[in-house]
Amino acid sequence: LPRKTVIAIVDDDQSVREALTSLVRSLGYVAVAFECAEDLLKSKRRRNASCMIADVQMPGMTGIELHNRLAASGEPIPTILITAFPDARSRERALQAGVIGYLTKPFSEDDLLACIRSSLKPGEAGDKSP
Amino acid sequence: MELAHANRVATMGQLSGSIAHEINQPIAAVIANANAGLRWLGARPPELAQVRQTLARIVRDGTRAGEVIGRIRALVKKVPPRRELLDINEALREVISLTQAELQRNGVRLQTRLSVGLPLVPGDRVQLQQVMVNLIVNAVEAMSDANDGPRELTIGAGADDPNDVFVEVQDTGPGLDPAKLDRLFQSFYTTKPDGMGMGLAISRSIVEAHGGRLSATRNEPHGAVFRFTLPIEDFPKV
Repeated sequence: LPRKTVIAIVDDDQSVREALTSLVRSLGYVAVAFECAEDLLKSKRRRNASCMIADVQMPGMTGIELHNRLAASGEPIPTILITAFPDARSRERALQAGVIGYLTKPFSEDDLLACIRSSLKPGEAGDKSP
Repeated sequence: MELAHANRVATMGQLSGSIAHEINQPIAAVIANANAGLRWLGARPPELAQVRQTLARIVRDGTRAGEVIGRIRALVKKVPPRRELLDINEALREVISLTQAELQRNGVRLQTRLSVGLPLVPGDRVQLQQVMVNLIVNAVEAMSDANDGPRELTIGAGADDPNDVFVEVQDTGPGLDPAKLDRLFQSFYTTKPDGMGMGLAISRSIVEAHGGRLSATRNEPHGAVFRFTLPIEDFPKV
C-alpha cells in the first residue's frame, strides 16, 4: 500500500482546527494539527508533511512568517494560508512569498481541495474524492 | 446617552473586521465539518461515529457564532441603562474576544492579568463594556501609530481595595503628554486625525455614573495606563 499523504494543519482556533482535521481525514489524508506555528516547528512530525494549511493571524508567529521560516531553514512545506480577516496587503505578501493559496474563511471544499492537489508532488498519494 | 450610543456604533464600525473574523471562524468550522460529515457518510461503509462527531461540532460552532452576534447586538442596540451584578472578568473576556483579531492584525501582543474570585460589581454591562472597548481601541491605535518598539497590551482586573475592583489597560505606545493630561478626558479633545474626541469623555462619564473613577498615568518605561475603578457597593442611579 502506498504511504498516506500527511497534511499539517496550524490554527489557533480550536473549532477550525478540529473541523479541518476531520475534513482532511475524510478526504483520505493523514492530518497532524498544531495550535501554533511554534508547536509545528518543534515537532518532528512536520518532516512528513506534504503540505500545510496554516492560519494567517495567530498569536506569536503568523502563517506567513511560518512559511518563510520553513523556507529559510531549507525545509519548506507547500503552504495554503487561510484567514478570517483577509486584507489585500497580506494576500499580496503571501503570494509573493510563494504560498500555494490564500483562502478566506469560510472557504469551499472545492477551493481547498484544488489547493491541496496542486501542492502535492507527482506520485504522492491523492485523495479519495472522484 | 445618545452620544454614548453613537460612540458605541462608531467603535463597532472600527472593529468590523475583527467582528467579521469572530463570526467567520465558527462559520468556516461549520462548513468544513458539514463537508467532512458528507464525506464520512458517503464512505463505504459509512463512518457513522465520525458523522456524529461532525454534527456535534456543527451544533457547538453554530451556537458560538450566534453568541458572537448576540454580544454585538447587545453592544450596538439602543437600550435603556440597566443595573445587574457583573462579573468583570467575564465582561472583559467578551470584549477581548471581539477585539482579538484587531490586536493580531496590528501585531499587538496581549497579556491578561485577571485576578480570580473578584466580587461582582453592580453596573450596566453594555456601558462598562463600551468603556473597555474604547480603552483597548485607543491603546491599539496609539501603538500602531508608533512605528517601532514593542507593541504590548496588558489588560488587568483586580481588587486593591476592599471597596472596589479595578480594570487596567496598559500600552507601550508613545505615552501621554503630561502638559495635556488634564485635557485628555474633555469632549472633542483628540490627537487622532480622524478622531471625534468623545471616547474618553464618554468613558469617564460612564465610570463616574457608576460611582467609580477613570484615570490615566504614564506607563514605565513608555506608554500609557488607563485605569478605572468600580465600587462593589451600590452606586448612584445611572
